[in-house]
Amino acid sequence: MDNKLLRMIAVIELLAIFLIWELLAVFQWFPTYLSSPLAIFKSMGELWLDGDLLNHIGSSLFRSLMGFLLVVIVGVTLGILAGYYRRVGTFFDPIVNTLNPIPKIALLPILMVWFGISDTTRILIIFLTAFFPCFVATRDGVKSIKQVYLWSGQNMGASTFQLLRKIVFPVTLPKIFDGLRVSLGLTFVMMFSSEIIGAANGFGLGFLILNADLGGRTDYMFAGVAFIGLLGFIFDKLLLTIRGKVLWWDVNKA
Amino acid sequence: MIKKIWNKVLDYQSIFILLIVWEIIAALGIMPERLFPSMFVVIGVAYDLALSSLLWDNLSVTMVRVLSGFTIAAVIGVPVGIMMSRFNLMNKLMQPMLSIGYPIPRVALYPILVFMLGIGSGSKIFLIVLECLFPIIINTYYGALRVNHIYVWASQNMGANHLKMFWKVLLPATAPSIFTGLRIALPLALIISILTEMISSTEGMGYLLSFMSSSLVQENVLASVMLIAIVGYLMSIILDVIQKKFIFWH
Repeated sequence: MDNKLLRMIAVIELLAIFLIWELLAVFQWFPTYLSSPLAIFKSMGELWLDGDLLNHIGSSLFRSLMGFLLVVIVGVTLGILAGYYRRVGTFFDPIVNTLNPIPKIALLPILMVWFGISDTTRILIIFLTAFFPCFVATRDGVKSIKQVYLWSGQNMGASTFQLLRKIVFPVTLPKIFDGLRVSLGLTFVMMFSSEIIGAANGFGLGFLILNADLGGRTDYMFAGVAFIGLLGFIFDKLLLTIRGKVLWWDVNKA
Repeated sequence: MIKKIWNKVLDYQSIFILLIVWEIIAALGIMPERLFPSMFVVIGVAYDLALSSLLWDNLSVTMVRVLSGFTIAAVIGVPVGIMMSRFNLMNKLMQPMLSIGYPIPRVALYPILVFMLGIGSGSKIFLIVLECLFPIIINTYYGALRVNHIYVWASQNMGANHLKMFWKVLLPATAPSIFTGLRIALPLALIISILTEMISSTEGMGYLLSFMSSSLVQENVLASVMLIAIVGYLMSIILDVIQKKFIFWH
């Protein structure tokens, strides 16, 4: 399907939704707490000009990206090792199988007592949640490598490190990116949730929304939600762009 | 016999190693005992909790939310995904919504949903549906695209209408991918339920957790986390069993 048409349809759909919403708000068929798109845009502009917004976005991004970076480093490394070495794989299997279906958000109160209501706690909870999709995808990707590649590599005298770096890693890369995309989405979810639960003074988009909620300013709430949505959208597109650049040889693009 | 048990232990060695390390840390008192209780104490507290009505009252509330949200998402998501693969118009209308909606953290809508649907189950179930819908639709769509065209042609040739084709051909042929989507969605449902209950609620497992943690008795918190973990694990096992039952050929 051609991308241009899809993009046009997307724009038209969004505009239609906004238009209907705006009309409902103007004629007051909506309860006033649902605000209106124009009011939300206005408060987004106000927040932008206010100056605090960059601090909010900065500290939120710092938490989520630190967590994501940890996931990339630890998840991919462990995933490749667990897929390549059978013993490492069997070592990690029970941990992953038992911990994966658990809602990691439940660990937040415990981590809060151990590390305080701090960035450490938030980054840790983001890491714990986003680690598993990345790890599982990487491990399964390594496991599904064609044995022929490995044999030919060994035949040409590659050391284990070379084998991992030159064959296993590139072949697994599409799967790794699939896992990372899921992880990135979870990162932003956990960023918001860890900020809204461990209520504290400070910066962060979650606090912004929480404070607007307490003050009953729904337009600011919508604005905060819109900013989080935008960040999630931008970083997802960024990851897809990186994927397109790195994996130019991969036929079935996401 | 002993060898069999020993092999089982070896399979689960990592769990045992983690437990032993935990116990050593607890016994040596590196962390204060109030913050880092021994696992045996935690298991005892969890057992007590499991016998009390405190757990069952809250668990039933959470389960109702999780299951109703999950079911609604599945009932909406699977037909939509299959329809997207069959009808071009549907696909063109849905595809942009998916690509815009998927990367947005939908949890952030929760405070607004509370305004709209109240602080009770309504807003929580709605958020669970929103969060579960995307993985289910996307997995169903890609699964239905891969259905062998010959099956579709054969059924059309034998005069099946759309409804019949959906039930007899597309749904069974897509079932493995649908279950992949459900497998992603089920833990999400539990996460969202507990998360929203922690933010604002007076009942449910998330409420129990924040209730326990405000008393600062770490055994109780760990015990409720352990119970939540068991619930999550059991749910994934039940899904496994259902999958084996329905997709016996895979």
